[in-house]
Amino acid sequence: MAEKIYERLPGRGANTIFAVKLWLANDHLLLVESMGFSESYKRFYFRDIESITVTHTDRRLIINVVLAVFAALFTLPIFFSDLAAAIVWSILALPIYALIVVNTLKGRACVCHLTTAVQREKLASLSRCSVPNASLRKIEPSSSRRKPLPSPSSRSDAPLRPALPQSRGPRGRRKVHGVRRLLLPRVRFRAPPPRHLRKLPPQALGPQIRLVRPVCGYRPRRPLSRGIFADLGFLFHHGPCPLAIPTSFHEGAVWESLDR
Amino acid sequence: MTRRVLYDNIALSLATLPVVTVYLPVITAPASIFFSIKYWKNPGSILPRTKVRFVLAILLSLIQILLSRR
Repeated sequence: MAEKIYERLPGRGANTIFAVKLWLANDHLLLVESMGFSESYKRFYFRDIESITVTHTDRRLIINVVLAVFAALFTLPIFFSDLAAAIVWSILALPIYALIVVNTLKGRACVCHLTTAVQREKLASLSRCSVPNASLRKIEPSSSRRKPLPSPSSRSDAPLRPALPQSRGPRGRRKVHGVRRLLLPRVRFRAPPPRHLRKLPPQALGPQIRLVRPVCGYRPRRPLSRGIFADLGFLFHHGPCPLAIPTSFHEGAVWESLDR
Repeated sequence: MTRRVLYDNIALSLATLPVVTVYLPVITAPASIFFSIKYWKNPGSILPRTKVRFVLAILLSLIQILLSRR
C-alpha cells in the first residue's frame, strides 16, 4: 500500500472529462486527474510555485439562471393542467429547484490558477470561494516549513529569491497581493478590483487570500445594459441592409442583369 | 506527469457493470478474478488506497459464477 504522505485538500471539480482533486504533501501539491480507470498526477513543488490566484466568476449566477429557465418550463404547465399532470410536472420540477438551492448554498464561484515559472495550471477542484480559503489554510503552514533545495544555477550563498516588500501603486493601492510567503510577487496586477469586490471587507474571504485579477488573460467585461443598447443600435443601423438586395438576386436572375 | 492504471477499478467494474445483462457475467466474472489476482501486487494509485475493491470484485465474481452454475 502507498505510504500515507498525502493529505486530501477540500474541494473537487472537473476538467472536461477528468475529475480533479488536490492533495497536499510535505513539499509539494499533487493535482490528480482521474478518469475512472486511470489517474494522472501533476506535482507542484512549493519552491516552484509563484502564485495562486483566485478570481471571482459569475458561474453560479449563470447556472442558476439556466436552471431557473428549466424550472419555469416545468412549473408553468402545473397551473394549466389537471391534478395528475400537475403532480407529474411538480415531480419533474422539484429536482431542478433542489439543484438551484444546492448551487446557491455551495457559495460563490471562482477560478483558481497556480502559476509557476513555466506554466499556469487551473485548479479545477477549487471552484468555490470557500474552498480555496480552506485549502490555503492547510497549504500555507506546509509551504512556510519548506526548505528550498539548492538549484544548480544558485549554488552560491545568496538566497534563492528574496521576498520583495509589498509595494504600493501610484494611487496607493497595493500592487502585490498574496498568501504571505507562498505567493511570491512575480505576478503583477494592473487592473483595479471590480466595483462589486471593492465593497467587500478584506476579511470577507479570510485573512490569507486576496481577490486578484491577473494581468495575463484579463479582459474587461462590457456591462450588460451597454451591450444590449450596442446590439440594438447595430441592428437598427445594419438591419435594413438586406432590403437593399434586389429581388432578382433571390430569383436567381441577377446574372442576367450583370450580363447586360 | 505520472500516470497509473487503476486495476482495482477495472476488476470491480468487470464484476458489477455486466450484471445488467444475463450472459455477459459468464465471461466477465472470470476475467474480473483474473485481473484481481494478476494485478494484486501491481502498484496502484500513489494516493492512499486499500485492496477492498479487489476483494469485492473477487467476491462478486464468485457469487456470479456460483449463480450461473445453477
